[in-house]
Amino acid sequence: MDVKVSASSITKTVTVALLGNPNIGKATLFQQLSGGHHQDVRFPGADVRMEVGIVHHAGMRMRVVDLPGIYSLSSTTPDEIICRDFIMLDKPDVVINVLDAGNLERNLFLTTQLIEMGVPRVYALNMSDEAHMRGMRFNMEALSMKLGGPIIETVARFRRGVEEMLDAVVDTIESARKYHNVAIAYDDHLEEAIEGVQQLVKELHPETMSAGHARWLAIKALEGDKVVLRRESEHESLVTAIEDKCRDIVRMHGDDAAVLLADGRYGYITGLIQQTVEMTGALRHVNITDMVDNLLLHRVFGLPLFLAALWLMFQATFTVGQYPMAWLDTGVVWLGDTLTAILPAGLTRDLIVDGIIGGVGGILIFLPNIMILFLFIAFFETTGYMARAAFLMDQVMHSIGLHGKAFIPLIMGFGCNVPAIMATRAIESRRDRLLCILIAPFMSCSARLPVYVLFAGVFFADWAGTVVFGMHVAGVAVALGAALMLRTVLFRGEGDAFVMELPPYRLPTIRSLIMHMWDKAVHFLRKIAGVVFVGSIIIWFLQAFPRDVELSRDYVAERAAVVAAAAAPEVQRAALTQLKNAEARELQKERYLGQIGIAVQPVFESLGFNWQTTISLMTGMVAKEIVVSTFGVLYNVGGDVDAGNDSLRAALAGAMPPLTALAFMVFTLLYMPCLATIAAIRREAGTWGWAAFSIVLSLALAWLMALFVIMVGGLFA
Amino acid sequence: MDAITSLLTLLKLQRGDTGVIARIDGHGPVKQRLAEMGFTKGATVGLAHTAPFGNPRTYLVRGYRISLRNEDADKVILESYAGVPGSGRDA
Repeated sequence: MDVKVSASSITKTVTVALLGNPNIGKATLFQQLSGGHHQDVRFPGADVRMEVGIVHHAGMRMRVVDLPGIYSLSSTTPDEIICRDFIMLDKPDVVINVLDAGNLERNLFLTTQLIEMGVPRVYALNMSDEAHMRGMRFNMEALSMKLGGPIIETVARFRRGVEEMLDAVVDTIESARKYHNVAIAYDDHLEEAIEGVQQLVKELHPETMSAGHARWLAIKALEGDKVVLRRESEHESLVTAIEDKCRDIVRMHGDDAAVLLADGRYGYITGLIQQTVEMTGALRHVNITDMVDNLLLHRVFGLPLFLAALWLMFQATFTVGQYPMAWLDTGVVWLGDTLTAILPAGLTRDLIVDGIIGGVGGILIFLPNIMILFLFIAFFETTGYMARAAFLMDQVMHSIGLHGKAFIPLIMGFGCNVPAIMATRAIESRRDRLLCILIAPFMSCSARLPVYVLFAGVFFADWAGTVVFGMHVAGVAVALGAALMLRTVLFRGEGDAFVMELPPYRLPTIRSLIMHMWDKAVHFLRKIAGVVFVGSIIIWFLQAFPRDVELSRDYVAERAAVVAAAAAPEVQRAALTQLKNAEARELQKERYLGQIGIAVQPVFESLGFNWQTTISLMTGMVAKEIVVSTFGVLYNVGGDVDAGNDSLRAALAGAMPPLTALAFMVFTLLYMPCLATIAAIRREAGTWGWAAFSIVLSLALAWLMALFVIMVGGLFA
Repeated sequence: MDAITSLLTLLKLQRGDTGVIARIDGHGPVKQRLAEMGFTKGATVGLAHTAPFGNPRTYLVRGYRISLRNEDADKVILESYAGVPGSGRDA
């Protein structure tokens, strides 16, 4: 080695995984640890991208991985498989098992499975303040002994206990103490079965294997997870032998091995809690969650309240958002004007002002709307209301063949379709999941919001908020309709069961809401910096070239004639503006982009879309944010149509009747998912075939629904 | 166990009632999921809320709330049952 490194400057890098049930403050803990800075890292074993935060503590550099929230490690859902594979194959140095102190019983179920995996563990007894308020006292030493790892009381939202928890992680790694020699004992029959399978595993396995590992493999096999076994050995005979064993158990006990194991685990947990948790007073305290649920889950008022909450969300997005939007707009216009004044006239100036500022700026001004929308979604999610929405909607969802859990990804789709499609991992059955993935893109994501905000503002100014709300409702309606159709045509048969936790209501801290929103804002800005920036430049290029085109009129001469006529100043100005716009329109048609638009436009003839609209839709295939920036670029070419911020609005108002505008909004809502969503569909559904199917389905539905709008609207015209 | 005369399932619970689980009928993933979520033999369950159209319903088990559809709740067989006096139920 050339470079000498002093011992003290070497920091050891370790990997720490956060594992726990959903809704127990694990995300908050991750936020506290990562300080809001995290990167996406692909892990080879689990083969998925996961959020990783870097923590420096006591001379150790920790890569903290936020695993998906799961209830069990039985590998029956994609998330459970991810967690199993990560722990098994990517081998984190320590797993921090985050527990909800107030709900230990169910939380410890996952723990019993983790213990059997035999990995070094640290426990975070989170939300311990809530548990204390309810009169619960924990014997920490006994818990640590029984669970085979240090356990620390934490309150993630106030960062309480986090340093001690990190100390425990460092200590566990450095001392390499064997914490994990805990055996969960099952009843005699089950133990017999486990030992039998364990024996088979050891006999047929080529190498020596520790007893603990063999036991874990045996338990996994009895739980029904055959993947682990196949991975460990190539012996098909072993798998067959285990299947026989499982059948024996069912015959003897009249119950699945998995169910008997769950019985055993809960038996162990009940005993453990009796010995370690004490209830002191305050048992019958006022239960706020019950009180709130009595209102929000009310059989008559529940659904109307939910719809009202959604309506409020969209109304706020539009009305509150328009003030910061106006400020940003002013800023963007000012920047454009300033640069126009400073830079010498020419192609470079056009590229910067019309292309980049016109395109990127046209989208940037919608940032406030998008942040407000994400704030609402974050609020619904962190308070626990999102699960109530799924509960209220399940019967409706079920009647059209959807799973109630599909409702949560669909609502998240209002923010962005990509996380929505990823959130379908919570749905167990593949068929239900695929169905949800296919209809999720119909949920109107925030990228489509600018189109509605712009068009509703121009054409339906008096009830813009309601129109924006209506577009989202239309998206839901089409999604549900498509689900019904797919269910009857493609995905027949019984769906999954609906087993969903309703977490206690919790008020998120302002900090965590802001961080959540900030996260989304950064994501949005990155997208602007990347996709929209490049897209704007390409669009600008296509509409600025070819430079030399033959025009039908000699605009220079006509302009000179107007000036020479020496009419009244306002008459002259009007005539000049008219000439300028006519010239711009003719130029646009001759450029590459115009040629493409004119070539494709016949497809949209019956919808009444002009070629500018057609081009906007085509560029929007990359990302729907680009639809509005394309309009910005296309209609700003003439300049001075109405100087400053309202130029695009004024240009649009004259470009099409309101009915066409409505059809355009519907088309934008439904037509093909953006590139990022297509990539997400491919990844989550597993094949390009489903992604292609999604594109074809959405294009066909968009065209038909837009035509429907034109035809029905025509009846009232 | 002799032939079941009248099946007492989760579905029979009225609001405020509690019951103790005897077993879960059927086989397969739903049964496993229910067991993992704490619906095991001997566990006490209570009814918390019913959705607007009567399905699904929310139950209290092992100190937390969980919702099940009626067709799944009907597979959870209770061994004993304690009604709330004056809940309007003729027991």
